[in-house]
Amino acid sequence: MEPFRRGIARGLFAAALCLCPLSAWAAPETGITIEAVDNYSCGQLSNNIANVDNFRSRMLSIGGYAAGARWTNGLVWPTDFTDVDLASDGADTWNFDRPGDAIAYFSGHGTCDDQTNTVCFSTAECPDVAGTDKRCLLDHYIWWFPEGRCVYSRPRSIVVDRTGTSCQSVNYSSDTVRWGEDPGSGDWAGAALNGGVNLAVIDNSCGITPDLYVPETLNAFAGVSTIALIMPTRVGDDTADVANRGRALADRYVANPWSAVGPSWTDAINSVTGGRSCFFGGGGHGIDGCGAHIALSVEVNEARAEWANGTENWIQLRDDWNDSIGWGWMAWIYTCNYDCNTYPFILW
Amino acid sequence: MKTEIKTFGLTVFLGALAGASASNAAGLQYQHRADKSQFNVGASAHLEVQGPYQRLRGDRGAFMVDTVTGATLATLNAPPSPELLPEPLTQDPDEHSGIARDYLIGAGVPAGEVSGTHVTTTMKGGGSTRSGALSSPSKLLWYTTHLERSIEGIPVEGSFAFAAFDSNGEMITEGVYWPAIPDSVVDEAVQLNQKLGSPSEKAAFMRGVEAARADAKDAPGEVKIVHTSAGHHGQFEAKAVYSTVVKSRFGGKASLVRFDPEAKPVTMADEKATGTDSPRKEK
Repeated sequence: MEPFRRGIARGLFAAALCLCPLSAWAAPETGITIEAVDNYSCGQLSNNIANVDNFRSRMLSIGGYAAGARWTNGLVWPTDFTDVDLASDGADTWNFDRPGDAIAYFSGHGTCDDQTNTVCFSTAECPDVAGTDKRCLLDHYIWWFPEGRCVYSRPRSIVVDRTGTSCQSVNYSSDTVRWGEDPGSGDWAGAALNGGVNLAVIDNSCGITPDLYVPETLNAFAGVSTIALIMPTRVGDDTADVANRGRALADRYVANPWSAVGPSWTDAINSVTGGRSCFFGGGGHGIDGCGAHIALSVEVNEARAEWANGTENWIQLRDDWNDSIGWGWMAWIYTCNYDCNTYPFILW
Repeated sequence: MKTEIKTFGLTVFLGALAGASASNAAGLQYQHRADKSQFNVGASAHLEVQGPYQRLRGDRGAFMVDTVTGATLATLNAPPSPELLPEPLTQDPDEHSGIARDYLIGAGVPAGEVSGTHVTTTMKGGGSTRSGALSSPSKLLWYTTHLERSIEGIPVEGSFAFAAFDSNGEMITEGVYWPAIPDSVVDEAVQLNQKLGSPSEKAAFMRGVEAARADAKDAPGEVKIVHTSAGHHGQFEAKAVYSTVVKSRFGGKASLVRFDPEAKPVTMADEKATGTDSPRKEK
């Protein structure tokens, strides 16, 4: 009943805002756009293009979704990710957030400037840095006393290299990035109605800092149901450049289109191979050290956020009317590549 | 096109896919199947065939077999409401791993190739976005236990066998991909490992590594058997490699770098781009 109820509410809301004909926004969103960079002047990689190709080919190996755009290397531009209504050169409506697309997947570099080597034993001990939130991230134990390193909510970045000679960053924490705005969501994020994606996958390094989810990602939510990221959980550890992460996500759709999308991303870590061991045991699964797959959903209230995060399935994901309709509550689910229940990553 | 087949003859149909193979393989194949699985798909079970995938689906979940690779994956249907997400079997990962290990080996995963276990941990949480950075703790949903595969002491990368159980002892998810590894590959890996045990031979090998990729020479590495992934529908590949993870001096993603016994870089068949870019964009 929940999707139906959401659909009616959103339909009325959108109808009040939009003059476009019903048929234009009642059509399912099925496109899958992929963007990936291997040819970096700031650290060559080799598996990102294969990673997104493997994702999309697996998704398209059964019905339900369709090919969107594919951009690689020099065809991936910073403006692909910024909003056409908020940035003078923004062009996401033709690239990463196209009307009619359900899923957009980026694979490439990020930056780890959220991490420091400042020693801490609690979050309060971390020096304040203006304009950021802070956490003390567990690093190791001295006997049974935990010691951490300070991390901060510095804007998280997608790194591209349009010319192959100079890397450029676009940050999705504070820049003019808004994803998913369309008639189903309404124009509540100031980005008009010319987006589309319902699931954005950001497969980069240091995609999000543990426990700093709101300051680092709220900005990007403008209708997108779920943003999926990789979260290193120990300073110095990071995402590994593997070719099978995207396909591991698509495996969950192929195996069961009625499975929930958010948990599919987090569970995908179980099928990813490669990487290095975690200090606290386990490790690997596409991570160089300790880390997690995390799926975030934002909605106007807790019930809707929980529905988007833990219940929305691959079929419902295509329905524009299941878009997020505003900020208010964030729900998250994550799967660590080690026992992060016994070894919680934040020292309070 | 999706074809539905009623439950009549289901076990025979799925069972026909399954089997174990040891011919010319030091690494034994185990192919999981629905009739060996404890995963409960629920009522109204029926078989669906979509392309190369066979899916036993019920009102609780689905058990899928990739008929090209033999890999299996079972997942739950999305719960009708978030309150119905699974609860953990236990807060003790060792207890979970004991149960999962017994189950997977009991189903047929070769015990002699299981060199260890580890868990992954699924947790959830939430909070108001109005208060900025949240301080609400996340709660454990479930553990997933993985069997680690080694042959002749050499770790195998690409294989997996995992299972997760909930508080009722019901399975939440499981996946198995445990292909046969040819004798020749295992022999090559053992020989490479022995070679790198000799300081002089290792020094010579690492000079080759440095010549091929300078930033890999100081990265810690080990000999592994690596094979193509569970979803790769091309020719199966397994190789003996010296495997390292190289961090870029610029930061960013860490690279997996592999070398064959001659210190030549190795790229697996499923690590190659297969698509074509869209027509050149204007913006």
